[in-house]
Amino acid sequence: MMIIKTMFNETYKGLLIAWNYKFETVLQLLMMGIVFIGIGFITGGGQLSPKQLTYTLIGYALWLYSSIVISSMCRDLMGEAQAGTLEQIFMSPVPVSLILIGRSFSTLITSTINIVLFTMVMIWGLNITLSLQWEGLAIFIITMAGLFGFGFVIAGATLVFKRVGELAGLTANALLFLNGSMLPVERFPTWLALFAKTLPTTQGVILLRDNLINMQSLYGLWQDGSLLVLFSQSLVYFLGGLLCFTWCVRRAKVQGTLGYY
Amino acid sequence: MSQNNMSDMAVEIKDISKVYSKGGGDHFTAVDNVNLCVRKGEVFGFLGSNGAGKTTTIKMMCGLVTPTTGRILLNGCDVALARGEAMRQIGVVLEGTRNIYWPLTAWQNIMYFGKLKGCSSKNIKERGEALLKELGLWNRRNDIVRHFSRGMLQRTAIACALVADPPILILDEPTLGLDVEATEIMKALLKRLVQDYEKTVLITSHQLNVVQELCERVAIMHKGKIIADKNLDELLSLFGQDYYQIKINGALNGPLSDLSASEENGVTVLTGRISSPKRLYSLLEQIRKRGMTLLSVSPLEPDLEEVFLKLVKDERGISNYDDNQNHV
Repeated sequence: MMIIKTMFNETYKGLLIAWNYKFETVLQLLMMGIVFIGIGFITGGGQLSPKQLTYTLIGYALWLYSSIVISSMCRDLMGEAQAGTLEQIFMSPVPVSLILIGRSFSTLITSTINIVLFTMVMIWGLNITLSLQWEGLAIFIITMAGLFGFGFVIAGATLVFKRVGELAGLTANALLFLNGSMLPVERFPTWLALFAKTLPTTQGVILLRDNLINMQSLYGLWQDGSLLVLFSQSLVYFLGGLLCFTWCVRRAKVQGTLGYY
Repeated sequence: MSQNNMSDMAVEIKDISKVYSKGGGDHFTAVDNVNLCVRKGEVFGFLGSNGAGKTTTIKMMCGLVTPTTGRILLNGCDVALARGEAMRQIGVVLEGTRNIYWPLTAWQNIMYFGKLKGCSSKNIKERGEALLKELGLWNRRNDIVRHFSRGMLQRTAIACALVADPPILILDEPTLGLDVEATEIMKALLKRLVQDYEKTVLITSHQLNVVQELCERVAIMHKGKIIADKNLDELLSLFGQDYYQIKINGALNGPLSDLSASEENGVTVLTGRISSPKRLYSLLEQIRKRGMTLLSVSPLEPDLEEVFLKLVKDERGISNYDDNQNHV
């Protein structure tokens, strides 16, 4: 019950703040569209091919989630530390890990609103055909759990090391090239493909494409083991991320750096 | 301290130390074996120069910094062992005005922080309305707080800190940056909180006149240690015995000791510290020898600022002053 209340409270606050920055959000959506069309031209060999765009859109949408989650976990946390509200949050009787999950849910909701809006405009404007299926939602949720686990690591590192902002930005941008958004992982050199597949969202992009474009069922993905890989990976990221965040909070309290930037 | 007395304590700080590692094996002791108690319903002033360790102590009370040794109890709840329950005991406004979300309205902040403290919507609405009315913010509740004055921001932060009705209110520099009028409003509010709502209030401030006006008891911290912890009256009277004002008819011919002198309407007023009765008699004898007419001799009560400066400058702590008094 407490976690649901926390999720609702954080989501409501997140939406209120996002509404205050609606002009910036519109600009962000415009930017997303321009970058996507640019990538579409590159991957389509100078042309906007609807079939290629469908393929790219899945990877790009998941990369947008990565970018927003990493930014939210790092930049927003630093901003709150500077503002003084972070310390207020840490003085709540609610366990901090629950608040973190609540905030992640809030980020998921606000980013989904933006990304769905962006996706709909792209589908309509660029004549992209994408058959959305409920099974895809399960893959999406599992992928997001792993991504947020990765975000928890970033959040924890932000509390302890402070200067991770640039690194987080670099990681978010690197994921665009490494999660298969632009180029399928199968075309990477073996060593790079192996590394890329350990990153959050890469396996999710592969499975979502298999499900939404190649029409592979969830059962089929489970049978060939790829869904199990995604599930295990996400579980490790999520639990590992939570543990890492908890450790970092403890460390920041010992160092006395929780509210300093 | 007896068990009975222990239950009267809102805050108990026991043997708290905080040692920071500076790297390369070096250490810095920010708080050094501090013991402190604040009684329920008391307005307690916590003073110290910059870097004295008071903010670290407060952050340890709030669970934001982990002590190296010792324990802190808030209404009997151990901050380390029963964090959730301990946090329910306090409402905190840390230094600076940004304890609240600037893009949100006052009411939205109240609702958010109330829920963050685990309160029901019904309770938050009832209490939030009462608080905002009390603090003179009700008509501005739907305004984005970014547009508020510093005093209004501070009052909104206090409303957010009190929305869950915590028995202890901790205010770090509550009047910092406020103009005279806003400071008066803040002082009146704090007085009401104690009188009408029976809150325990712990204040840190560099504006010692504010502390002198509000607090019943004061602790002074210096270089990580508590050098004084006394009722305000006791603290002032301790030094009051040292301060005198001597009035002489006419101008003073030449300086007299290290007393400060001023002349007005043909009367010279000498003020300053005279450490013993023997020294006072000696000065009076000098005045007599110079052929000046003595009008009056009266002890003066120093203000908290003078006491604070004297204690911090001497770095000896109050026990030395107690000893000195006994010797006189």
